[in-house]
Amino acid sequence: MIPPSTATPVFSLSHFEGSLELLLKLVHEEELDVGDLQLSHLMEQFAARYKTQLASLALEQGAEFISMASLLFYLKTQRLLPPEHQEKIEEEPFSFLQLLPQVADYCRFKNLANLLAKQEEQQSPHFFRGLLPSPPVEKESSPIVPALREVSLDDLAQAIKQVLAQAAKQPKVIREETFRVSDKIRLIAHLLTTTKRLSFESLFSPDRSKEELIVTFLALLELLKNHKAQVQEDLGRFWILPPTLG
Amino acid sequence: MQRELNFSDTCLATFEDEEQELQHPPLSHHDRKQAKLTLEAMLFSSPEPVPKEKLREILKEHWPLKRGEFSQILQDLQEDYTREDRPFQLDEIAGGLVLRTKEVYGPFVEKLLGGRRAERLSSAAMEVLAIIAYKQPITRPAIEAIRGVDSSGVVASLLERDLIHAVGKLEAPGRPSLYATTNRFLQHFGLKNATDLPDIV
Repeated sequence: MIPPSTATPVFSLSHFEGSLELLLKLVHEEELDVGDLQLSHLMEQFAARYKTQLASLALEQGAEFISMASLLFYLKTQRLLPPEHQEKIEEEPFSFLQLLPQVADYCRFKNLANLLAKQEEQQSPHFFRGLLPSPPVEKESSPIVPALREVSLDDLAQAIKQVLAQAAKQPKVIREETFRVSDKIRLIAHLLTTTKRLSFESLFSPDRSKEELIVTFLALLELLKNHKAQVQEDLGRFWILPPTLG
Repeated sequence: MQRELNFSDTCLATFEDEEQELQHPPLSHHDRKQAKLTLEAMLFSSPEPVPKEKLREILKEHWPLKRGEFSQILQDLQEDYTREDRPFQLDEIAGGLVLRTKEVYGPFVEKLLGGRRAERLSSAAMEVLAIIAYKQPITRPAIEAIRGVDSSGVVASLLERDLIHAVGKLEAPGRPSLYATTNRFLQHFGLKNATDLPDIV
């Protein structure tokens, strides 16, 4: 049982005093009969509190209240309905009540999260050497070879811009075709297994549509980022090569 | 010497220590001070908490420390820091000993280190972390069942920050990964060990 924190509102009914989570828990465990609860009082108290604490009542608390109160109302209506009706909706309340332990669980963890946050707060003024996170450990054991050697990203960008400009000028057949980066990645990777190097022009020719060019370029960048390809300059042209290992 | 069960290990260690106690006199005042300073040097140089045993073993190579003496030296050091108003304190977190700056110097160090004391965690991250910390090991679907919202993004970022790690897979359809908190988690929250969490009443 979690003692209500100062932030958790406490409600006072004829048979009960405590937080809403506790109320739900007791109803679920059948310690309290939902028929005995006067939910209208519950609403009155909430409304009164809401008026006085309008500014400080967090949105979260309001939402929590609504979800828990509506569950209580549902249970009460179930209780108030004549027995014949109860049979029909027998299946539904089951799944609702099954939610209860999860709601209780979630409330519990929200409190724990607050405790953890306080702990973090308390510890934050203390530093030790190496406290700040070191850069993420490189998972791949193979040494990293720069994918862009001799060729700068700007150069590449220039090259693609030129092709795009040219592509814009040429008349095109308008076709309904979508290009996917993943497909182009596969294509380029495959091409790189069959040949020593790919010329930039072979991948990026002006007679392709702008969309296709852009998608292909994105695919190339993705491959470069993951060190699955590299770009080099030779004889004034760009070439795309498979990655070198080591 | 053959290492058998843990039980006999401790028995053996106790016996060895007792033997030492009989053979060696307590450390001289000078030696004790040296041992203390050496300890301080080691703690100063370490980028993360060092297990007590490791420190003790290194010291023992040079000084015949009896069991109680190591703890005594630790205490001496701790008292020095308080008495002499030194800017750090000796803490036991994440399964080891570490020197940490005292609270009052926090803002300065923070500034020195680029103004971010490892970004504070978001409330969603705190929730997921709380769930994992108390229920570990636990799978992502189980986390989501509790929170009622998709948590893959938060789990991914916690993984990247090395606050949690995968410790195995659940034998169930999909074989989801099981997550637990890391040593860095303990360091970040200044906790001694995984059971040192604020209590669930």
